[in-house]
Amino acid sequence: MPSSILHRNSKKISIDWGHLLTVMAMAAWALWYLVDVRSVSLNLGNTLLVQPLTIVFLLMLVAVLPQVFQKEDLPEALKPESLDRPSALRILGLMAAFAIFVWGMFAVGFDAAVFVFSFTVLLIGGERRWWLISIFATLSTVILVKGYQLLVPFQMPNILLG
Amino acid sequence: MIDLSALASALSVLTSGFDAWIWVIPGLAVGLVFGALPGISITMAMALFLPMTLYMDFLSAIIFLTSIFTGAGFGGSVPAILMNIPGTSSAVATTFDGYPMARKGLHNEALGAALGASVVGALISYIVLFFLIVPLSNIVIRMGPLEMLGIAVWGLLMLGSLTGVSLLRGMIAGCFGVLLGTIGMNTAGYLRGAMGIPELLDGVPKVPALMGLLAASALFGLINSNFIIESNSERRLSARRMLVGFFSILKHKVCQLRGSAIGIVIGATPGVGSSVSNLLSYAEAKRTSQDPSSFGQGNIEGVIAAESANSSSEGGSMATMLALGIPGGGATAVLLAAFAMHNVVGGPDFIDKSKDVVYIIILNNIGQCLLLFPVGFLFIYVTSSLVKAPLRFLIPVVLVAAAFGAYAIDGSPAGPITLCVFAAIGWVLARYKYPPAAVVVGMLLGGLVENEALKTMQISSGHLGYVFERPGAIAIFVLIILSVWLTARAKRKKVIAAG
Repeated sequence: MPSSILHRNSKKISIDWGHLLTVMAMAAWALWYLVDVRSVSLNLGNTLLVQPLTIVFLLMLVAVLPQVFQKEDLPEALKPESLDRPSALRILGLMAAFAIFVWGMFAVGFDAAVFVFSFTVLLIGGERRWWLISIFATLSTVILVKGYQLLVPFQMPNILLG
Repeated sequence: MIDLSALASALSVLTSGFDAWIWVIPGLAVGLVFGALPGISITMAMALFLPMTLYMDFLSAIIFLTSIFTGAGFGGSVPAILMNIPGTSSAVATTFDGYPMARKGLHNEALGAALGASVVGALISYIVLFFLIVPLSNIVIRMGPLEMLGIAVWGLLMLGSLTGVSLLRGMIAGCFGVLLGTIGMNTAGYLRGAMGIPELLDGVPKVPALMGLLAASALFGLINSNFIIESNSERRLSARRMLVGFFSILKHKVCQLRGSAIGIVIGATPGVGSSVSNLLSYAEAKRTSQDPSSFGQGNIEGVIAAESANSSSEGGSMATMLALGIPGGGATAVLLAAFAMHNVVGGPDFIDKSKDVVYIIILNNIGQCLLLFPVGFLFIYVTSSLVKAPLRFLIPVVLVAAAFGAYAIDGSPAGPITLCVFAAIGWVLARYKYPPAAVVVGMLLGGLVENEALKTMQISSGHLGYVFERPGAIAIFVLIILSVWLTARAKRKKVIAAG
């Protein structure tokens, strides 16, 4: 079928690197999981669901690969929303701030972590009134930490709020 | 079926004074507030107030706790609709259409519909319980692993309705979720995928993971918006539109009744409960809808289906608890603890000897459902003002509350870390059109499918003939096949009609 070959050859390859990375990460995890499951035991009690499902999952990831290499030819609904540089940086900044907040809860203290996180997110969100940021971060820290201290039966390590 | 003298005695207690009613509104209010807090489960809310009930008489204690149960069952739908946060796994399906409705400025209608479906769903379940408590419990006690496997497989079929824009990517997300759900030690005692982390012995913590996948990941994307609802005019709070939403259940009677029936049966099944019933009901609503493609885009039927099922599960789980003394879930376990604190043992003996008390509990719960309408209405009116808060203020508060809620589950860093990791995974998956909701459904049901399949295999020693000894399981599998066949036939007819 020369025409179809020609048609296929004429398709421009455009790689969506983010999507490729996502697919590769899922495939790597699934492969590792399959190896891990098989290393534990080959008994049916261990592999009954996981082994066939992992293989099906890997096959589906292979099936999605052509979409990764034809970014431009995909229907609009399957294309990721375009993000300008400031928007992407805001999202990455929020993710990083959240990760640091979770680390800070246990490494520094719940109160300090909430204060810094609230302060940072307001800045990332575009708030520039320093007095408002300070008041909001302080109030949200006190209300959230004290409120959850009343509800949660576990110790919440704090620097100032006891 | 109904003991009239016990019923008369129950009615005289309920109508002779306010003693049986005085704790209802405080209980509903506590339940609504706690249910709406991310990470604070119904069980936790009831457990927190359990010590307080030690100083009450038996009936007041049970009425107060069941009021919290009723209130919290609906409270979880508020953050699910307004912020895409299913505070508990029972509200997962509410987010599928509730949040898109809120983003379109239909938050008033969505909240009203959720309240209507919850009030009517819970009401139906208690009326059924009133008449059929004994026969229902007899059915439930006959359910074994094979029947549970059937229910879990039915739930997994829902993945087909959550595939979003691409069937392939939807199925990848679903499989990914099922595999994640099998991490940890299975029923046969094999430990897989835990990477030497002790917190993963019991599997990935489900509530923090689903909060991360659905809510936190969406909040990351919202940092570039100013409000949940961008249009200023659509952010208005309207009691009239909430009432329109409330009464929309009359337009979707079949959806409401089907959701309630699913909720009662699944809720009565120990160990399954509302976390599965809301998904099944949603899947059935979408399957039978004239316009299935509008599901996930803000179809009010999706909200009604999910809420009618999770609220009616309450009556179902109460049936198992009262009739058999078996807790169907955490909330009924707390209720049984309250029974024990007052030296009362639930079960067949309790039903036999204290029918009047059982009727008081059921009738009072019917009253609670009716009172949930005004109390819940006031609650949604106040809380829906969240849509007016600028997102730059809302995002840090909600993310912190979610992290604290994740910590509150077992007091270890595992919850917040899981939340953070799955928030990032959810954002990446959503960006590349792998629906995070399918991952959540897979995670919730993956472990259940594997464990029930293993138990069935052990009981049957691998003999297929065992299936024919289980008429209940055959009925469930026939229903599944019928449901798939009807869907396929409807789709075929649609294709033929379209030429």
